[in-house]
Amino acid sequence: MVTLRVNGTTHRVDVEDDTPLLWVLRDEIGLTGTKYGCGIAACGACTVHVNGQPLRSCRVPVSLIDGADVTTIEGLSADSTHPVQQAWLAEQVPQCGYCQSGQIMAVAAFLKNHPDPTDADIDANLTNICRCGTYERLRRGIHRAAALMKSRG
Amino acid sequence: MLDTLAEKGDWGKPMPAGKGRGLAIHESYDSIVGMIAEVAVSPKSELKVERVVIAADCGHTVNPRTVAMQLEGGMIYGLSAVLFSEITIRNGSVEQGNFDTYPVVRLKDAPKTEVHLALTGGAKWGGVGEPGAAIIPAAVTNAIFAAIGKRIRSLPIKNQNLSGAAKRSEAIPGSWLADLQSQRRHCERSEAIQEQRDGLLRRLRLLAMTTRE
Repeated sequence: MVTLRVNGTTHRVDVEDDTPLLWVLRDEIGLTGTKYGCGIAACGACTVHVNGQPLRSCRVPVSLIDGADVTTIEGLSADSTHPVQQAWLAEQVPQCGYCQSGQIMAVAAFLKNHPDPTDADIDANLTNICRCGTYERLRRGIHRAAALMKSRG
Repeated sequence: MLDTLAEKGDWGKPMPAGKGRGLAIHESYDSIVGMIAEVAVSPKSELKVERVVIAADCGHTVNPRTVAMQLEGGMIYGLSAVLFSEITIRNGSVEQGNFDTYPVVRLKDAPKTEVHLALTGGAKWGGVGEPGAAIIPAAVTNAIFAAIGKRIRSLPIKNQNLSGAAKRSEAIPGSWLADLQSQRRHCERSEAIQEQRDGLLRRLRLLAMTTRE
């Protein structure tokens, strides 16, 4: 038995200790906004926040984070008003969209530590893959989200 | 389209040493698409594609933004194959299995990109997906030639040696000539093979006729 607090709600799940967090979120709790991409933590499609830190959930055995506070794309904001989500809408970042919940979660965590990011900061820290090639708009979206965060204080 | 591309892509403007601009244009899927790539080759021979300007005439658009996004995405997809993605076979099986062994473009590799539409209307509704992927190899390798005077004939570029190229000013005419010569040799070789084959066919036909008689 593992206990997780996911998007503010406590869940007790009965799974094997080595079950990746991703499958607990998707199959046990039913939150399918987090996506399976590569399964080896190389692409970032499954990024969620665990105790505020971005983690690639496909490689996190759930028993390792018993009791943790998890935020998924569904819990980032109640009504899509998080600055990253607003910036994504304004810049029309996604194409197919599959990687985007992971992208948004990675960027949201990144901006907490880099409120005024340079392009070099972005290059060094954000490594999620987008096979549609939305990188130009991703970059614009990141800068816009940072500006939005600042204007909101 | 080419005028738009040249203007927006700063064609002809000088670039500092180690940097170069390359242009490529082609017609496919009823569209004409052109690109200018700007690359930098560091003294350590590291390649960075810094900027890509895309111009396209796909006849008409319904939503210009999705057209631009498709062209950007196609270019990025093609750029992975230009820079580092490859499939190799060992003992009968593919060696690459996932993104740890098959690198693709990430944010740090993605150039600044702009798309300019130069629509001429008419009867054509051209495609904008694959044309973006198809010409980025030529634009980037032309830009490398402009930067360091070296022709890239095989992809991905990660397997190519970008060092040891002569200085730009002296390199261009020499390697340009060498290029032409090697192309000519190739053509001559093809012609010789063609002649041999034609001769063989003639003799076979003759043989067929004589045996029938």
